[in-house]
Amino acid sequence: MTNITEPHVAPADHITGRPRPDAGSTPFVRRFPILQNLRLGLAIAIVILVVSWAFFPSFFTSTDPFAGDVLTRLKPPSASHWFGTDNLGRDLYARVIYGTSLSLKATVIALALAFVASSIIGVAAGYLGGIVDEIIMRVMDVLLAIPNLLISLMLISAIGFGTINIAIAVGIASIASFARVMRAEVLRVSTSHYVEAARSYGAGWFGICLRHVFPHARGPVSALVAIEFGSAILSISALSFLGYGAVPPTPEWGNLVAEGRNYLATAWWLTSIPGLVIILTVLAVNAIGRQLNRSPEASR
Amino acid sequence: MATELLETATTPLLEITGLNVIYRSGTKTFQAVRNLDLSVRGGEFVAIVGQSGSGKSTTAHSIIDILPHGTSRNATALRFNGHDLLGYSEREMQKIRGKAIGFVPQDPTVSLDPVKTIGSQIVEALVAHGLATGTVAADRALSLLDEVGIDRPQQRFAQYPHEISGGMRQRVLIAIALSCGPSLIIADEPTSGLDVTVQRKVLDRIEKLTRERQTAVLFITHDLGIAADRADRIVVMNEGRIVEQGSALDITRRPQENYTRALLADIPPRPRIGAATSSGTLVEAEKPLMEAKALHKQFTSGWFRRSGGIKAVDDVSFVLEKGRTLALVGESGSGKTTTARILAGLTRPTSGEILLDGKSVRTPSGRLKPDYHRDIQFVYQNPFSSLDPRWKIEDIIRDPLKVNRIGDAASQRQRVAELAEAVSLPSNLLQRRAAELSGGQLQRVAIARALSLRPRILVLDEPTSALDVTVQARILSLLQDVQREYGLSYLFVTHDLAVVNAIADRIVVMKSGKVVESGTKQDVLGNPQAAYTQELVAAIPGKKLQPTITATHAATADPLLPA
Repeated sequence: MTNITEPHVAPADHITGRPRPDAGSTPFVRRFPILQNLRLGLAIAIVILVVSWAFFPSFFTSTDPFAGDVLTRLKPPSASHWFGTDNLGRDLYARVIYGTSLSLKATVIALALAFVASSIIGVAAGYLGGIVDEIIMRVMDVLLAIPNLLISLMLISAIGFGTINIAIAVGIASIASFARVMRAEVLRVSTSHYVEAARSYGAGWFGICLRHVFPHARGPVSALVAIEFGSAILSISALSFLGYGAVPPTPEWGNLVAEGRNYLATAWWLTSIPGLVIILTVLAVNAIGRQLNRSPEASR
Repeated sequence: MATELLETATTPLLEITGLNVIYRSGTKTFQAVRNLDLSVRGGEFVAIVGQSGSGKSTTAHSIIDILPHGTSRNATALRFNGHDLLGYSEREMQKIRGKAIGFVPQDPTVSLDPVKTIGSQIVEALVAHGLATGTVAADRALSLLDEVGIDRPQQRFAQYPHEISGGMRQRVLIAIALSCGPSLIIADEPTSGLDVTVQRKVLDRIEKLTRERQTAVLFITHDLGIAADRADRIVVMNEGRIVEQGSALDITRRPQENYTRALLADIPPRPRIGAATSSGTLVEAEKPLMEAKALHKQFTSGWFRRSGGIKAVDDVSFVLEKGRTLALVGESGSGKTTTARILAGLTRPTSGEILLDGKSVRTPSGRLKPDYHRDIQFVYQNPFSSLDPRWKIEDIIRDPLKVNRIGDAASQRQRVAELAEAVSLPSNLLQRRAAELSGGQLQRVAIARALSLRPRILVLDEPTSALDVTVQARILSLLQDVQREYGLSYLFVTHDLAVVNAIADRIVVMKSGKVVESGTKQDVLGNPQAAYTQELVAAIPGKKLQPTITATHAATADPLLPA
């Protein structure tokens, strides 16, 4: 007889208590569990690399991102210029690395703003309910009806140009979708018996929110953060592309793509490589986000 | 009995030998069924009895190969009516499922497609197996609905699952299982979610229809009482193995194994009608601790609070005495839970008053008095949903003390340890989380939490209905111990009259929001006056168990299993 490693409790979803299907992985990956770890490991490695770029750019390249060399302009990737050079002969690898910090900073500010604001709004709407909920959610519906980029543009024209302002604008524009998820989670948790039990032994509104509702709602919203990370990078890039953000020659992922656009026919690497960096970063964060969403126990 | 008649059938309809089922989750494996041999003859009613986790459902599922993906099943032989099911492909199994072997799933609320009418779901089964089409299939479906005891089949045919009750849905599932005229029906706890009276009607139907058609039944249940009442043969399972099998009479009257004896002993004894009518043990001993006066609750819905709505509680009054247990009995929809919630202050009554020590529990403005929760606490039916899954057990029990600022951290922790001991919860579980505990352990945690503020009254909303009979017996005896030790009063909500018989002093029977009958346990159960109470008493399963239980209950040696 084999050893019983699992006593009486099958692996269960932490919320519903039902056995949890191995959600989110393809049959192929499920057959080889090592691949799942490999995928996650790769994703974490990419994110660590990108974050290190942002904090210690000089550690990864000794080349000055602003120094052009007319003799080596528009050269394809090679051993001396890994990502090639641009129209002024600047090293693209160095520019991508030095651009990371600005892109990442803007994204983090945007998401932090969206997360905090939407948490407050979502918890208020979900927990207070009634007329407060109706008013807040109708405003959110209006926001959702307008394309995010348009809202961001409106806000930027109000608060002025600059990377930080872009971040704020993008953050505010994505509050609505966060708030909806947060509210749905709050509604689910706040009607649960353990919240009612807490209220019945005298726990206050604020304490329940802080200790029951928010920890439960945090999981799905964090997963959304990871997914929104991608669109935040794209929105920020789009806005800098339109000239509202970082002013050239300051490198930033979005405006690197924008600058390269003029040379798409002759120098593919100018748009493709920064684009590829953006894509890989977004995918890696998504993979991590999905894993976080799947195993909240991991946060123990 | 039918067994003797069918003794002549030489080869069994279903024959399983050496069945092993292993679940996998990641790198962990768990063997749910171990080397199991089982056979069912044509027309035979076989019940597999066991606690949750005994592998009974897994056995049923493995016969028709509907185990979850990645589960490994192997057996020396798995023969059904001459077919070797082991060698069958998925496509071949599809022809067996439904057509030759009908399956009645456990949960009627999720087993029907919510966007299809119930009629079309029966027709679908017929069409899928090429047995009928068009109007013929529709006619067949109608007559099936009629046969399973659904009133106004013509009208019900076009209704959707959410428009009919749970009992009706279960009947529809039975109709689907019967639709193709199978020679075996596998029923996986088909009535565990239903009220006792509905349960009895559904079981009567299953029994009648299968006996008429000579259909064999493999009936999975945790309720030995049901098995004793209905089955020809009982198979007792524990931890994936068959403990004992034999005729229903042998198993219930002359159990050979300790495990079976323990199972039998844990069934609360049925009340005996006509017994001890005038024992009069309960003279109005204590003055009332709590009094409910003319409670009304009307639920309204929608934006424009329409007049009318549902009267969930309609003029309910009763008295709760100090140190006693009052049972609130009724079926789903009788308003018993709403009444309990009103008493616990969780729901506000539309009108009526609750007096504690003769004083109203609400301030003149209608608010609950702020320290009310110190006196009365509520224990929920489902311990899985009433404990926050993210919290450690210690924090869960400690939280009421923390919230009410009782003592410092050290004294709170000490109190938690005391409470855990009071409810016999092993102290090593305090650092775990809810998902790692069993249902019985979780209910102990919920009781410990409710006791933490030293209340005088506990409102218990079906605290054992989600638990196995063995665990139920332990929780009930725990509740009695705790009551004696702390002098608590209980308001015990339940639909199970056998449980009431075990624990209550007084009984209030409710139906459609009204009190139908009330009095001492001896009066209400021994000599029920209202027709409804009589029906409830008659519906308690385990009639055939009666002589056994009274015999074994004297010597309640229960050496098995942690709760």
